[in-house]
Amino acid sequence: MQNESLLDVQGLTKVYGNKGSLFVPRKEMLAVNNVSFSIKKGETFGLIGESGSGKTTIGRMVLRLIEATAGDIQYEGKSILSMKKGEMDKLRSEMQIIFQDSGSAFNPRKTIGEQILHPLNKFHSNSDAGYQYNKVIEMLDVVGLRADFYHRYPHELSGGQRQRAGIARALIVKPKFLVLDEPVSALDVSVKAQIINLLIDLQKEFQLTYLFIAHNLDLVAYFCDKVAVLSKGELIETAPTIELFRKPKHEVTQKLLSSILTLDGDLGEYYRKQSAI
Amino acid sequence: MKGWKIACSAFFTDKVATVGAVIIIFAFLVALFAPILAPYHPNEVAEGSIRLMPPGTDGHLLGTDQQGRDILSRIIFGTQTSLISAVVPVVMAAVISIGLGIIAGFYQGVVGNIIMRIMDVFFAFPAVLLAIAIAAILGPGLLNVIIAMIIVRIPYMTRVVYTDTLQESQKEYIEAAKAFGVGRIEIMFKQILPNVLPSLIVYSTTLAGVTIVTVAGLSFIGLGVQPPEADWGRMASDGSDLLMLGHPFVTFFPGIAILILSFAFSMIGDGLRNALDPYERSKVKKEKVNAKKAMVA
Repeated sequence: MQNESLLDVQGLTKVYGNKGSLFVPRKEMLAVNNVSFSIKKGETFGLIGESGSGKTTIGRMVLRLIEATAGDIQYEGKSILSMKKGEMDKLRSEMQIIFQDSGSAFNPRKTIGEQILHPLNKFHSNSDAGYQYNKVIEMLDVVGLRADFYHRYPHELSGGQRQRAGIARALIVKPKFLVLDEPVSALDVSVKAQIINLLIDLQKEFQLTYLFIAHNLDLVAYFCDKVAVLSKGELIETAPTIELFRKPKHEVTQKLLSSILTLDGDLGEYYRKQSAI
Repeated sequence: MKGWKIACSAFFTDKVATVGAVIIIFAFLVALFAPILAPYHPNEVAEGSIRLMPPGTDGHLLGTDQQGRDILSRIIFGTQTSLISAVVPVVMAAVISIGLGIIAGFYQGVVGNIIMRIMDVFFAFPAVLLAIAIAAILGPGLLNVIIAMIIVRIPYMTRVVYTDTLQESQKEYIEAAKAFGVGRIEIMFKQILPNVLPSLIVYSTTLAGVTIVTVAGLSFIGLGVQPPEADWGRMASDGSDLLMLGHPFVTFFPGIAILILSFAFSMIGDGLRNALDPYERSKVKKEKVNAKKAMVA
């Protein structure tokens, strides 16, 4: 079970651009170029890249929030890119996403409770209102929020609390796979650790598989089983986390490692020393 | 507490907005009960057909006009057309603009371009000039003036909705909704609409005030309400010849009525926006609590 792959991505490509018209010259930009990777069940897969490297685009394509230009994505052996809308919508309860900016991840005019209830309503519309309300309260408790957050508006929550609510909204439909799109990069350092620990606990509790997208290697060693490094739309290195930290093959990976500061100089150096001993 | 109750209580904490609302409600009541409230029929010529009686004359509080009709009664009856000409075009234009603006902003691309380029064509003409042209083609009369005003207001309101929709559709809560399979129609009208509505409401109330003045202007040049029907713009226009002849009140009172009503519409705008915005609402609440604390201390 552990070794079965949940998500297989083959040759994923995304080209942004316009076909050109009378007034606009044809312009194309290769955002993601022939990316392949595979995520095993229960694994946390890190996708690391500088801004503009296409990591967010990949995260969105996996959930079909952005349509891929070419390539194939298989979820539990089923190709999701060829699915019709109805089929895909059914599958959406299994794959959810946590956003970077919790401030814009919630509709400012609806209460937190309403918005966590919404997906539940979408996928289990036949259950009664009382049951659904209890489910939301239960889920708020799971992510560490009090029941009275149900009636609050997004602006009344702190960034960390909103991120917890975002996790509750994603988890309420009992997904198996979560895309974490830089879930903590907008948060304070202390809150960062809390959210990451919450995600680790939830992964154990609900047997979740994560695709963790980040722009640096800060939390990767702590959080990910496997890491893929992206640069300019191309996957340049994929390796188990420990291996990547010990023996970074690519220049970009080394640069990313060197950017992590520790008390004894940079982390890349630290790991190299460690493996030398 | 229900959402609209919270909104109401937030609205009435805004003193300016409350005054505006009171004036508008008062105007509605006057329009509704005009036949009971007015001392005379609006077209009835005073006994002995005494023309241009000054304000305060016995039986004619605001005097009589150049044809000997009671000015107060005509203003009371004129409230009906003024309110209709303020509210109907703006509400109709707002409803159409919400549809056009949200669709253009959400789909962008070809659909959005077609809608917005058509709007740009309308922008090429000054609004009042366009209204005059449309009303002139359709022929004089209140209904045609209202149709003209609807057409003239749509491009402006659609722009407001379009710009807000562009901004909102890039936010992540829209993606979150897509991620659990919410349909486009639901996203447009349940997620985006509540977020673009407030600025449109503020704009609408401002436009309602301007529209009263514009419709009065169209009546002034003879395209709107036709004589002998009572209308504030028409009354102001008819009295304009007498301004310098020592009878300014014939124009003055309808003018004041136009001013007050259009002002009242502008006054409720900000209050409505704050009442509909959870963030502004909590700010008002906090200020209230702080004020109470200050009182105790």
